[in-house]
This record gives sequence, C-alpha cells and structure tokens, in this order.
Amino acid sequence: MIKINFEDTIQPIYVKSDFTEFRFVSNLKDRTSIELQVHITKHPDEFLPEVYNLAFGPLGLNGQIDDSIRLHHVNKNKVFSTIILFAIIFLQENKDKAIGIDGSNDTRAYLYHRMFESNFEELSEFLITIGVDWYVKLLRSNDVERDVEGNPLFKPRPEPFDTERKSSNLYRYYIFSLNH
Amino acid sequence: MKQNIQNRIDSIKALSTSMKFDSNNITINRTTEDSLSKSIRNKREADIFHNELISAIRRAKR
Repeated sequence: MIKINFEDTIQPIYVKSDFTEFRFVSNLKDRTSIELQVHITKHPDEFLPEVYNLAFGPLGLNGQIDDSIRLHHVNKNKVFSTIILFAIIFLQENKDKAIGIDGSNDTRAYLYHRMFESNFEELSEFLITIGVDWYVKLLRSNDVERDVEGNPLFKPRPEPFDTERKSSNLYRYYIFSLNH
Repeated sequence: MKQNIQNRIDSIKALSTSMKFDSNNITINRTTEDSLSKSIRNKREADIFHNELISAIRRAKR
C-alpha cells in the first residue's frame, strides 16, 4: 500500500517554467537509479480544455514516457508522494484546471484507487478527488439509450471519490483538482 | 503541517526560474486518446460533462 507523505519527497533535478514537466531520480532495489519524468499535458480532446493528463515514468527510446514499465523502487512511497506533489504544484499555478488519470491498465488503475483511498485525508488538504464511471440510460421501453449509429450511448458521470467503494470496484477514470 | 508542505512546494517552484537554459527542453505532446475523450463526441457532451464535473467538485468540498 502506498503511503503519501508530502514532507518526504525527492528533490527534482528539472522543473519546467510552466510546471508541466518535472524530472527526478529514483533509486532502485538493484542499486541502480533511474530518471523519471512527470509530464502534465493538455488533454488531446479539444472539447476538454480544462482537463490535463499526467504521465510519469522513464523516457522510452521513442521519446515518450514509458508508463507501463514496472520498476522496483527503494522507496515507492517517496516516488508517488513526489509525483502527486508535482501535480499539486501544477494545479496551484492553474487553479481552473483538473488532472485526469486513465490508468494504462487495471494494475495501474488499482494502484491509483488504493492510493487515493488510503491517503484520502492527506490528499484532501490539497486536492479534490473525483471518480468517473460510464453509464447507459435504461429507457422505459426497456431498451437502452442509443447513439445515431444504434450503439449503446455511454455517458461519463463524475462523482466525489467514494472512500467506501472497494478497490475491486474501480472507477474507470480519476480526476483531481485543487482544493481551494 | 500544511505550511511545511507549502514551503516545500514554494522551494520547488523557485527551481523553475533557475533552469532557464535547458538544452534538453523538448516539448512532448501526448496524442493518445483516453477513455474520456472517446466518450465526448461534441461540444454539447463536453459542456454537460464539464457542468457535472463542477457539481461533483462542489459536492466533494462539502
């Protein structure tokens, strides 16, 4: 279980002037170290200008962050505390924005859910956490609401993160904004 | 405790001003769609989602 402690974080080696990019070094259990990058980028959807995405990981050979790599950090609590702290910094400088996390797979989504759930009080001092699920409306005709192509119409429904919700019932998407 | 953390935040922010010349300063754009963008197909749906998000944030603050 990841324990967030914002008083124990890794000093960054690089901070971009608009706070959308951070770099820091994490020590690994095999006695090597690795540079990790945190990129906060505009959501690719032009209809969601207030939502940003956060990605973290080492830089892959293709110049993109490899967010699926599995690393064995000496202190993973410190690593994740650092990443979340950087997200807070971005949001403090962009108070009207929110950061969305999809999770590249169920393993990552489970990690995020447990992290938000287990550290809710600590995180709530700085962040508002929102969970998003997708729902299809059941009509009185017993059919479901459909789009123009006849497919079930899934709509994203955000709600305050429910700490009672078990981590076996993951949200599909997570969003956090500044608590101010 | 919160002030200690804010002090730490402020010190990190200050680092950005001392890193003006970075030869590795490459802007990386993510173009991959995520599950949220796949379900927002037009401005109307985006506005609905935005309003619901604002409402959820307000409820979370109570």
